[in-house]
Amino acid sequence: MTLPLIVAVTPPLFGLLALIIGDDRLRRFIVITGAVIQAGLAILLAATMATNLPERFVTTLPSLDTWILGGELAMAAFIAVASVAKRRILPLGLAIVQAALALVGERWTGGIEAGTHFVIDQVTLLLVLIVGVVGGLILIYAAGYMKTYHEEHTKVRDRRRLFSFTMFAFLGAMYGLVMSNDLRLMLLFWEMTTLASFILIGYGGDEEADKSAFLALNLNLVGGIAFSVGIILLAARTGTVELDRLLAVAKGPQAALIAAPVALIALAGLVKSAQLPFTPWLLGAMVAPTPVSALLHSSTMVKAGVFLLIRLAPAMTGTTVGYLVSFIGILTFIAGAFAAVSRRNAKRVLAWSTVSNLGLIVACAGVGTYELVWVALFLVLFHAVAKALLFISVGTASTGTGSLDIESMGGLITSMPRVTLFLIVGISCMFVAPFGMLVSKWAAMEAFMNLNSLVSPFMIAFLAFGSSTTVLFWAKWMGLLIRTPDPNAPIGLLEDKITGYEFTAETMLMILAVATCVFYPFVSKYAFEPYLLGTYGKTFGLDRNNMMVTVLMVGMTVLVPSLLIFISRRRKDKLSTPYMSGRVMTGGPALAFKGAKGAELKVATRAYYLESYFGEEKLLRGGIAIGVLLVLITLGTVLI
Amino acid sequence: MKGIEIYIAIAYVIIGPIVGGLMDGFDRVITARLQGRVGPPLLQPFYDIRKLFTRRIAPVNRLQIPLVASHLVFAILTGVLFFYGSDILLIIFVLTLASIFLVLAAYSTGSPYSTIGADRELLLMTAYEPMIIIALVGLYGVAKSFNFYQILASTMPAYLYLPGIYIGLVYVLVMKLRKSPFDLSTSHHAHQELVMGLTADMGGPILGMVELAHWYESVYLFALVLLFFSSSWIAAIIGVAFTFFLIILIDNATARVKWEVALAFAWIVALILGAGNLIPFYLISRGMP
Amino acid sequence: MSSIERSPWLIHYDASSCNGCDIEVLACLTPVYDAERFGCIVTGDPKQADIFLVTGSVNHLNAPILKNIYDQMPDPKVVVAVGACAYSGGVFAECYNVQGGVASTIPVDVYVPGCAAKPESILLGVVEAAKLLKAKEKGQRAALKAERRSARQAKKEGAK
Repeated sequence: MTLPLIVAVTPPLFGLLALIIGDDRLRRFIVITGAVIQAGLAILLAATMATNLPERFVTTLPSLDTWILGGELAMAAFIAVASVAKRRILPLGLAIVQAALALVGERWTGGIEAGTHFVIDQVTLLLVLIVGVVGGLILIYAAGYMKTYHEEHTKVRDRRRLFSFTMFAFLGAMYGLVMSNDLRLMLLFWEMTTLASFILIGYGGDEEADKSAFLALNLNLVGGIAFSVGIILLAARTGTVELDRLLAVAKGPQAALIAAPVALIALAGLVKSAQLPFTPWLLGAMVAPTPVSALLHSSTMVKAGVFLLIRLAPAMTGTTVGYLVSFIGILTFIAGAFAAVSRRNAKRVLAWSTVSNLGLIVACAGVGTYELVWVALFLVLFHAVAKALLFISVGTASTGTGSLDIESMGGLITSMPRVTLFLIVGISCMFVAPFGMLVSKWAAMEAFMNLNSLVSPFMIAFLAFGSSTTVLFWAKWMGLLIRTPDPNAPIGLLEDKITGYEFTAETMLMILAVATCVFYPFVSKYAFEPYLLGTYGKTFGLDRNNMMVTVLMVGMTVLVPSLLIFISRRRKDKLSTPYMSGRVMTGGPALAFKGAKGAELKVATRAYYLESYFGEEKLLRGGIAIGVLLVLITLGTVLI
Repeated sequence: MKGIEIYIAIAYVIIGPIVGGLMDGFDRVITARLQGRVGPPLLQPFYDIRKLFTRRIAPVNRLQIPLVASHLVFAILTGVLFFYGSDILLIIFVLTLASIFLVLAAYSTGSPYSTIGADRELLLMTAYEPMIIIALVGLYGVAKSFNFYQILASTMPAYLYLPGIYIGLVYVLVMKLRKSPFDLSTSHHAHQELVMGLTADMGGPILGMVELAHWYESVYLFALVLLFFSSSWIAAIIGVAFTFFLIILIDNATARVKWEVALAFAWIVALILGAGNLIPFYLISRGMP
Repeated sequence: MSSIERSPWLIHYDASSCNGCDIEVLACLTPVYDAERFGCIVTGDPKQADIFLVTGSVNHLNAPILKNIYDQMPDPKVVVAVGACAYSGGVFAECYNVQGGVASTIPVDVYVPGCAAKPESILLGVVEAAKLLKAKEKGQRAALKAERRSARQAKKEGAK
């Protein structure tokens, strides 16, 4: 138990250090040291526990439930104070409800002696590594980014001590969450992540930040309340509060008893992963500084939601609740893919893409066969790495260009070539064969086909349409980046404001992203397949030949264009100008030509955004309406 | 039996362009005859491509040639994987990758013609990709395999079970072969709209590579059609020939549509005829082993 | 050796023609005259064209454009001036805006007479242009060979 404990406790300790140290340079040093150390510990944990999984732990802390209750009440009090300070009634009300449920829950579940408080299995280690390594790299990035952030945003109060503390504390909470087997413990850490998100989203301090922070808080509190009620119901009906016992009941004759608790806990997962109808909180959360968006709102916290759903998958498979959850997921998948087309704000595009991919994971977990859980686990892995890379690269790009508008990133390959490389690798990882996300989508399609149920054609159709639309908005973005209207323009003009920390983090994430695409057959063989074998009794893996094909292709996709571009750059032959219907081109940074009466006319192109077809407002309204309907149906089927 | 696949894949690399070029030649001759003209000699495409490769052209930037060359490499790779017997569903995504390289090459110039051409090409890809995925899933439902040779060996007449998907596949072919009414991004010369759109500012060997890739693609696209009619030799010959002629006929009989119409039409057909064709399959096949 | 004679791709530009010659050029593509039997394709991008078909006369507005399109065409290239206006300005030769025929701006290789030129003449002009292309290419290749030989010689003498 010691190593997992150390892994979980180290980040908050560094956070406390960062909180008290006032000197910027020293604090940056602490942050980086802490990030590296906690990443190393996470890797150490994974390496040492890789065999002989799963491992179960019981804490010897006396009256654990009192500690949990205390934590819940403390958080409720904090929220109440913050709500009163900002004069908001709803979060105050929700916090009171949460506190009341905590007390009620204590009465119901206080007497239950837990068998296993913590479990570490392959899924835990996957999340531990993601939190540790990806989280660590994001913290390193943040060390450099926040310095520039405050230089640019002079109106924002410099609260970097609180920022660093909250980021580290959040990492600790995530570790605790993924290692928990006792659902009350998991709920405690769950709420801690909600609180961390609230503090970090509101970092900007202006009205928009407050609004978004409270929206996220309210919705996640609702999710937490659903979680609490679910635990109470579970304890009332089956006398246990543990996840593994819940799964055991699910396989047995009493499975109908747990349908309601599972639905409520799944609802919490859906809220945390910003599925429809709860998506708006994640969209609003993009006002936070980029490291927050990268860490919480794409790689880790939202993964907690799908992590819970993957854990619940054996209990949801084949049930009505499972199919409804799955339907919510695939709906979000396609809504997200469509909405991303019309967005010009880069972080918004990434947010919708995140929501969309989480929707696919939810769709897989909801149906929950062993094949689909394999797909879900890989989606978690590939998405966490690629999205983190994309978010932090976008942050760096926006520092250089001064804007988050995608159109401002036109021609970035000349003005910020290194950042463009990171962005292209990240974007390719999201939709291009043979990289990870595409392999997962392909496997998802095959898995849905093998399901041989009436659900299959719908899932396949949604998957096909959604996946085709992702090609549209990603390729459009890539095209913008590589535009070179003036081959003689100076290279790297906008890259001087970028700190070394940012480049280091982005380079390492890029290598990690490609590495996951190359080594995934090993991850499958040594990590995921044993997990599936243990949980479902059956294992699945893509055909070995096909996996080899994709790995070889990763090599080709990276090498062939790079080699050709390298060769091409060495050549010194003349270049010609684009054809502009015979108009004479005048030189300069943008494409310009001599128009009528000798006037110089600049060429401006803009990508298609198709607002009338893929408009965000329409999609959100429709999506939320259908989402609410589905949630009500889900709750209705189990509670009535 | 295992060894022959690699030889067929190698044969594809060497003979593929010859077959593709001949297909293009037949296309032009039949089109001409349909229009009451004499038309070029059958081997005209080969003269064209030989001429293209002997030209010395200055590219617009240093990315054009590498990207178009990558497009060619991955187009060939798609066909090689296809004839080697790899999973066809994966291969469609490799095809997307090859198309993305071409789109990126067009985007890189910054010229408005090629940019709009690239935008439209992406819209066309968005339009036909759902249908092609659904078509492959339908084929799997009939032949229970994603391997080219196993589907070929299957005796189930896919065209009888999957009529809706066949219609969808026809329009996918029309889009991929850049024929009217869906020749929005680039088209046969003399039908241009955006000064060659996608292939604007591509001349000489660059255009030659695009043409070559186009031939390689035509070969395996029609091999895909072949899979639909693989139940017997007669069906195969008639089916492929009929589809070939049908596409030329559609090309000559229709006018270019706007991209909104193309996207809407493609998606509606994919949803209703394509996915609709799949549903009875899952209803029926639940009883089958 | 090369196929340039069998695959002449044209780009057509109307300088300031009355469109009479242009209609005849269009007629060449129709089934009655069918230029495609010679492998002709009319393209819009000069980078893909071998033969530059110009109608109409030159004035100060279209002169730079004419030159620009001509420059963007890769070597070897042939210019065909179709119609009387392209030759000398035709009936408009003495107008205030007309600078003259196409030859005042770019080198012309083939002249197709007529006002408007007949499609048969235009086709003959194109076929002649194709033959010229082949000759030019031969010459170009010989020149390139000679250049490479002299460069090698210079290297050898420099090394001595």
